[in-house]
Amino acid sequence: MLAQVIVSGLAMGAIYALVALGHAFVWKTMNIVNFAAGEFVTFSAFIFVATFINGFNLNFLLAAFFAAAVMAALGAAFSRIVFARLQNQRVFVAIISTVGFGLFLKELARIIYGPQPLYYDGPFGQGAVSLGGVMITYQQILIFGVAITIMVGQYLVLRYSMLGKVMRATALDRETAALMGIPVNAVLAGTFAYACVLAAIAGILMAPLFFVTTEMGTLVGLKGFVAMIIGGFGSIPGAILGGLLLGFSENTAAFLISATYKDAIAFLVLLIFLVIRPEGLIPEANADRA
Amino acid sequence: MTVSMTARKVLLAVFLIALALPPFLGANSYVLQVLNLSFIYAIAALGITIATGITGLIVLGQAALMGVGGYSTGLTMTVLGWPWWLAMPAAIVITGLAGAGLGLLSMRIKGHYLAITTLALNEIFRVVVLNESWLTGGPFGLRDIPVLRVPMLGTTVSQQLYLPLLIIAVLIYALAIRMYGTTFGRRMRAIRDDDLAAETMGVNSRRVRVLAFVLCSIAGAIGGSLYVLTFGFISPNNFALFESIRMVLMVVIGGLGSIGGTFLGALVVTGLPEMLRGIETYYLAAFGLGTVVILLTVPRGMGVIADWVLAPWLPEARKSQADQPVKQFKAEDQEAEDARAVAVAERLRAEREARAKSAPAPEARGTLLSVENASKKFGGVVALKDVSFTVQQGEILGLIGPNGSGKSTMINAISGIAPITSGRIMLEGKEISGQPAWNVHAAGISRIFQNVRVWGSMTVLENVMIAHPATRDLDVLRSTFGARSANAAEDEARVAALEALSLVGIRHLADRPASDLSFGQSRLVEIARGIVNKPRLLLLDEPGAGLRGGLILELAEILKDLRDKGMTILVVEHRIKLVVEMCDRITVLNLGEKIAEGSAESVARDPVVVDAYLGGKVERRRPAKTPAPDMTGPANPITN
Amino acid sequence: MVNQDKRKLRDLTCAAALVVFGAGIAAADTMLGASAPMTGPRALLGHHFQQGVRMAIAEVNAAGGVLGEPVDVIFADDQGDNPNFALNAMSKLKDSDRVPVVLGPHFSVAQLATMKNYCDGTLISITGASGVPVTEQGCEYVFRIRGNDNLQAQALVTYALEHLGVEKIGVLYIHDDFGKGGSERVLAALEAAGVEPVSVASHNPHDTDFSAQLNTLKAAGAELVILWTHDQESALIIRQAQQYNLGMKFAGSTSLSQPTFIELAGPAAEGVISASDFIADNEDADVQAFVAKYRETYNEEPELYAATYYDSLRLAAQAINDAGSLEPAAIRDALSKIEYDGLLADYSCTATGDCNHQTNIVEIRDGQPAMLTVVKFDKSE
Repeated sequence: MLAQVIVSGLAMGAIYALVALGHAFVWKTMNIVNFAAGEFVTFSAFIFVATFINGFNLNFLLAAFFAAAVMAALGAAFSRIVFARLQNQRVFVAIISTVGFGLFLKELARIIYGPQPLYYDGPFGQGAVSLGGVMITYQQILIFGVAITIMVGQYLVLRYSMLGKVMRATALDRETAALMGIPVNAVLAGTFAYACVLAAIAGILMAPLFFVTTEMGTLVGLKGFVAMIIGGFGSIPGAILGGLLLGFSENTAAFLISATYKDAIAFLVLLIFLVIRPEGLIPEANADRA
Repeated sequence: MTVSMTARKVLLAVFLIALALPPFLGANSYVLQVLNLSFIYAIAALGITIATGITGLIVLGQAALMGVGGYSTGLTMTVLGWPWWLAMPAAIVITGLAGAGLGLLSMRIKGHYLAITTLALNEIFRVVVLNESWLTGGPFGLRDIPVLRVPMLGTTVSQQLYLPLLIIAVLIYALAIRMYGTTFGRRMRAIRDDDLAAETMGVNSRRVRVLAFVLCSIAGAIGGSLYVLTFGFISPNNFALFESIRMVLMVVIGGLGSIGGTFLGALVVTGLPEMLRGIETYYLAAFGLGTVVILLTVPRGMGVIADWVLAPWLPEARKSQADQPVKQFKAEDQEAEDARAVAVAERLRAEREARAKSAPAPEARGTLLSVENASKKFGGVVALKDVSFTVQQGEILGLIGPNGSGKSTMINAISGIAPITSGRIMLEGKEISGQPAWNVHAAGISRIFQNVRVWGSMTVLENVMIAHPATRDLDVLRSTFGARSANAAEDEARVAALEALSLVGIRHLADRPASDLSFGQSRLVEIARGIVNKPRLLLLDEPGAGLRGGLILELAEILKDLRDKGMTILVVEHRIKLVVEMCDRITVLNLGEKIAEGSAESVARDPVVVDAYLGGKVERRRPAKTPAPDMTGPANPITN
Repeated sequence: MVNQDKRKLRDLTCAAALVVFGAGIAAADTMLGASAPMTGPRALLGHHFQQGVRMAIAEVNAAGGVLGEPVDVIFADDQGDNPNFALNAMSKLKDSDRVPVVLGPHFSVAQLATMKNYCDGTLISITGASGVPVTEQGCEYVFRIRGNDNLQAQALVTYALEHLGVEKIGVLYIHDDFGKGGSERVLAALEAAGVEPVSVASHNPHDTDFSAQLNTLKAAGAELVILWTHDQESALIIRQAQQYNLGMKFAGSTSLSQPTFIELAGPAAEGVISASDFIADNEDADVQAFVAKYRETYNEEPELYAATYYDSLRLAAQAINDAGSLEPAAIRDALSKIEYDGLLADYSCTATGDCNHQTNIVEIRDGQPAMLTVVKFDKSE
């Protein structure tokens, strides 16, 4: 029984990790925490299921590709129109703005797609395989596969290409980076677009797990942020570890202690970390202490 | 075009009277109920304005504090059978304690962490209230709370409570505005604008933060209590996260930090959906987008109107500056400024020379400050290594050294914002190392920063008044309610601040917002702020940096004048020439160690010093050095 | 600058004046009110609510209206379970529109929040809120036309124990007014029948992953899980149980026969048992006529809330005609004496305002709710 609960928790943890990664990237380059991240997840799930799967009758891969592309474009546009302007603002102005922007996105999804929850079967249907008595659904296998692929691919890109250095340079000193010929605005927009693609993937992967509703992303976005704090503010391996740990611990605690206090447990884990180990599991040198 | 303060007072009176009229004009109970709700939420949202808007501490969970207040009132009334006039103060105390806890938490948790934490606590509160039905009534809420009745004011509850709620709201807002303009309000704003500078200038940020949270909670508690007494029912759904976001919206639409604006924001956020019944589908989306647009384009929101009307009571809008277009500093101003600086410098020099003829400058009278074996490590980097030196009473000591030598670290260590790792620092025989910055300030050490750190949203006068000891220990109650001693202290601080401004020659700028000033003027404000408490020791971190000719002259004269008046000065500079002119004695740091000490001439001739500046090859008197500490690295909170 | 500010100020006062005087437009028809969720997360319910009422209005007016005048309904959005919106919606209907009868609010929390305002006798609320406390507040002006949670729970538990042949029963409910109130009654009914539930689990609104709860139930050996939660969550729970191959049966609240649930749960819904006030499969001629007409008018499947609030208007119209007056007190007296044969039940109200004393036990077969039996209770129970 416990094994079953752990597998489900880890699958959810992989989703948190994807969102946490998006948070980490945005933080590293823009010094902003996007409290609207969860609504990006919601919005992309709607675009994916309502527009591309149900509307245009595309297959999974094409629909996922287009949904990710649309979110990347939206992300790049939002980063230029809204988020770039928030960078020079005081922390609480930036936070409240992204909270407001999230409310806007959520309501927009409701206005466009209506209150009816949407159902999507997933690319491999709703079946499951039994692994030593533990049932793992096809969708959960897909989630683990995609998450691992993305993390490995991303590690390789950051490790062996200039991209990682370019991002890091932009984060450290924007003016100098610009002088060195780095297209700073493009890097910022690109990073944000990538964070949106991660959110889109999280939304696409979650859609068959649950129904697509306007509420589906809100808590996921916040827990992704919690995962990033647990992992180490802005740390990329930390975000992954934090996501998995959060998914694991909240589901296990829900099973062993109290299911009703499940969300409360996630936030309690956060509080414990903030008091005992505020720098997170894998601390970043440039962490935000303020 | 200006409108006199009297006219604005009249306008405010008209507005308040108009607000009081609806029940007498036959408005139906529905309209009154909507307005009642907006008064209640205006009170609760004021808490966010105090904590977030004025003090800069993010509270995204105000609904939970409102809920603690509401449930406390409801439960003491139903379970303990207390009357409302006992239940409400009890609720305020209980919620205030919860707020104090939150405030203590905010010592460790700031910025983004605080945002997510308050949000999380809101969610936890709701889940707990929902689950623990034995106490809270669970999902069906507390249902049997007696509603407050005032039969002489009408027949329905909405009619009866309209005037009481309005009056309570207006009173609470009046108190908030009063607090905003007095010492506690100044300290809150200083922490919001620049908490480091605030701490160094004697603001006990710990106490102010906790109190800000307590005030925020009290506002929430009053709002929650009034809600319960008006409607006789509360449930967990009343205090969901969405309600917190709604209150944040009120604050933002009202202009973050504007007290009057919050009231208007509450009217809009509560009233508009009722006026627009039928198109509710769109207004939440519009509110969300509106938040972003307002914050980015008109951050003052409806505060533009409210603060204009309330100008007679707001320090930064006093006089009539608020009506004039914001003055940008231009080239011709620069010249006028320069001329003024030269004039001040000449006057001070003349005075000093006149004094010198009549009486010789006082001699040094023993040790004021002694730094004993001070070391400072940032992670693995050694920024100060076993440094010892003393500052004598009444002297100007120069602390020099090339970039990265640890000068600023030394200043930060003395002023208490970056405590040393080992060794100790004594002021007249009392240890000050290990003390928080505000205690160091209280002990008589004041400083100015290398990069100007004035509190931009406050007036020049307020900037200086904060540092005056007369109002430092005034608590929020005494200063807000205007006890006679508090008013006297306010006056004393104001007079002293104006004197300090006169001394540095910028008294005419007293009522200007500090953000309007030029760099040079801001530096003078910092000096005035630094000397208003008549410190024993003034620490100057590169005071000449970024100043032009006239202002440098003025600065040098001001410092000499202060020295003549008995103030001891420790000045950090890396331009030797300036130091030689100004200082009585010089201490030289290089790579975190003291390498020389003595008179200007002896130091300037010391080959070790010369080499330290030119490249550091000479190693005659010491063994091999540790690797150069990187003083500009991110680990150092205050970079050179 | 100043002029602009003045203008803003003037606009503001104009707007304020609009609030003060703009309300209360007189109408020729007999106006009743309805407080329904038209926006927000519960908007779907409001959509059905509205369609049911509109159909009833057309029929009542075709039959001569109320007191000889055509009847119409003013809708006010209460956002479902948001107490503040409900307070304002009810206050608008009561103080501004001055209607004698309001259909809704539907959510128990909204009922309980607004009750103090209307129970002074200024209006009557006819509601489908099923929370038991709704009629226990000593309010003489609320009438409930659905079976309350107690009744639904008793009917369901009795049926399950008698017909499903299970011994180990688990309970899973949602933590809100609906689930918490319902589950308490289920537990009481189980206790009355001498059955100890093997496990009681709960979840929060908007939860999506139920693996922890389902595995807790499974670990306790539950053969049947009594579910008391909303359509969407029910569908997820039943789907996930199937995925994990847990092999439990499900029975529960009306949610388990709602179209949304059936659509979202898909094949997993087969065989699920529920207690529901309304079922389109009912052979009753009135129900069949309603179902046919509803499909024709809206091209949608009729469901519980459309039927409930259809009934609410028919009932209100008849009570007003019986009373011969629009005085709330007179209408209340008429309602407490009324015997009306509606879609949900043969209504007959108790002193506290409970008018519905029956429910249907329903099973999902071939993607459609099918009637198993009608359970009738004694009015005094």
